[in-house]
Amino acid sequence: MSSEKDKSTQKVTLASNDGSHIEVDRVVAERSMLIKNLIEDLGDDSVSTAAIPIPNVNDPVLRKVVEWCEKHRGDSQQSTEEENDSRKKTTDIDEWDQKFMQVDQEMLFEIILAANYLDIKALLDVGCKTVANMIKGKSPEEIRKTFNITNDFTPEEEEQIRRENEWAEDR
Amino acid sequence: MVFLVQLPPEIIHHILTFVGPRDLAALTKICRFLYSYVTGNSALCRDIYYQTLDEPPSNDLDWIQELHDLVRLQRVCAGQARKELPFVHQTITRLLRHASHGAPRRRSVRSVTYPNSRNAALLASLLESESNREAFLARSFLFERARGEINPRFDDPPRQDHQQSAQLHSLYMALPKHGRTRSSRMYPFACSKVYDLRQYTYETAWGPFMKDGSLRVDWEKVEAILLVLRTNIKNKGLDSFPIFANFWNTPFAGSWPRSYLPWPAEREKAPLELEDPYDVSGTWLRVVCFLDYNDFFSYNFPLGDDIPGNVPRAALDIGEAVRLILMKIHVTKIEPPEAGDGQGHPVVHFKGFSRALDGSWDENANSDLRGTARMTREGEVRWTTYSIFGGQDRWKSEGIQLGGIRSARGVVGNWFDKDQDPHGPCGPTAFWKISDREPQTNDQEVLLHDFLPIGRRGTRVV
Repeated sequence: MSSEKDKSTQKVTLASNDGSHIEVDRVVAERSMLIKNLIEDLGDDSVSTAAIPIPNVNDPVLRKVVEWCEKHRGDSQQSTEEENDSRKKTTDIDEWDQKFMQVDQEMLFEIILAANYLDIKALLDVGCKTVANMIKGKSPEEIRKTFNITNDFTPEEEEQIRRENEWAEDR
Repeated sequence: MVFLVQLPPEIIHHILTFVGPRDLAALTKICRFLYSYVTGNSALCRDIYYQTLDEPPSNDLDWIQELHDLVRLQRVCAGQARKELPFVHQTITRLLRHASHGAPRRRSVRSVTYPNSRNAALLASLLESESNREAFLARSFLFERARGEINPRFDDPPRQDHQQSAQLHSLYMALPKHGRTRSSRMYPFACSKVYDLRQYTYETAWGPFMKDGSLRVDWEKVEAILLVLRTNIKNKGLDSFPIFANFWNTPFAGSWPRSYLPWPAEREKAPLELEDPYDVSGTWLRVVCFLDYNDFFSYNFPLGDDIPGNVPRAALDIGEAVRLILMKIHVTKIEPPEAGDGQGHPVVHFKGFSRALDGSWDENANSDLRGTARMTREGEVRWTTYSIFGGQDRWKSEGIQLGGIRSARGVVGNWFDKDQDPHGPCGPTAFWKISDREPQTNDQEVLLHDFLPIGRRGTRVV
């Protein structure tokens, strides 16, 4: 078994589904609970010799995810109580993350899906909050335009929905 | 290309938990998929509720209705819709009842005896504008009289809209700093109500209750008492101390059930204290105001008094005395509720003592103390205290706990002669809990240990 010190300098290699290999510090890769559990299951020796396959994520997305994990390598894993305390202003996103998320919509969704698959809760939250912020305070027409959604209601349905929503009617 | 609506349902759920309650309506109008995803989605509404508001005491609320009411409250407050007072009253009192149950149960600063609450912060922000305070908090008989809007006659029974507005104002209590309804303008009218002996009857138990013997709270009395106390606290400069400012200058300051946070946080409790639902044991800070008795008497018994019983006496602005008192009490006995009480909780008896805090030697402020806490049938916590001198009861008080059981906001009510002397005197009083240090002890260091650390600005918990 390797010591804690080894672990902090140890490298692992991630293999994207389109065949590229990305070498990262093990602590960075272990921001992903999926990879962390995988390393525990496979054992230290095997991950130091062979690449870890990430079959659901392609190279550009995996590189973005790794970039985020590098930046957040030092973040403490919050205890439950701290999480409750920090529930204030939960839709706030820190500045670096906001910039990081300034990507096209397809990449944004891909990052969210990858974070979900790789089980990186903080990244999943940042991605979902970014999408939520594209919805908040917008009119239905603006939301449709933002997300390229077609209005598939009949006029009768629209009228019915308008009535159902009288409780919130003002925009 | 992946589209929003093609994401897995659990991810769509995760995204939508971060939108505001107001966005739900817009989402249902976008397309059929989102319409059916959002409509009737109670789990989504619950998660948005938890993102937006405090964890409620029960996880069994009608989450959809809760969010609808919250959005409606925000809309009503955006438009100052005065006719919506009943809805505003109902929704604000409910949001306060549901406030801050998941918050950490320890103080971050010693002088703040209640936790942060998203509900209270949201309600305070809605009422920040003067026009909203005018529309909802300044609608009692007292305000109408002060504005000269009505030919003043006490309504019997009191009007519901007057009572609702007075209750909201009592819970809110941080007074408007400027504008038509400034506190200095209200003060003489509040005094006129508080020091009017005709308001003190057998049926009201001489406390802030309706005069029908029901012991339902008369919120207009509570409002007048708070206005009088608040003005005196401000005039004496006491609100520069956090232990006052945190209650008398802060909107909805701990005005919800179980908001009190103990200090010290961990204390070994006696078996009786563990059974006490009101958590009476501890040190309380009390404010008492009174008129010079000659002023009081000539106000209530003028020569040739022909003023009808339903017409208020003249505005009164002759100045009062203020006493600050430290009460240290502990539970002595717990008994089942009596026939006239609310049956949900027992009657808790307590004993202790009180000491004058403000240096002015006043024998009335240094006494032994006894009393009870119990529920009214209406569901409010009713406190009765007696001050004892040389083994004899002298003064009595009746009050209700603002915000409900174990609220940090504490008790507000009236003091009076223990025999309910028809010639008085009487006046307003309030007390709120500040610490829990060894409630049974009567040591000389009571002031130093129980009050002064809290009096200092910004004293941090070690």
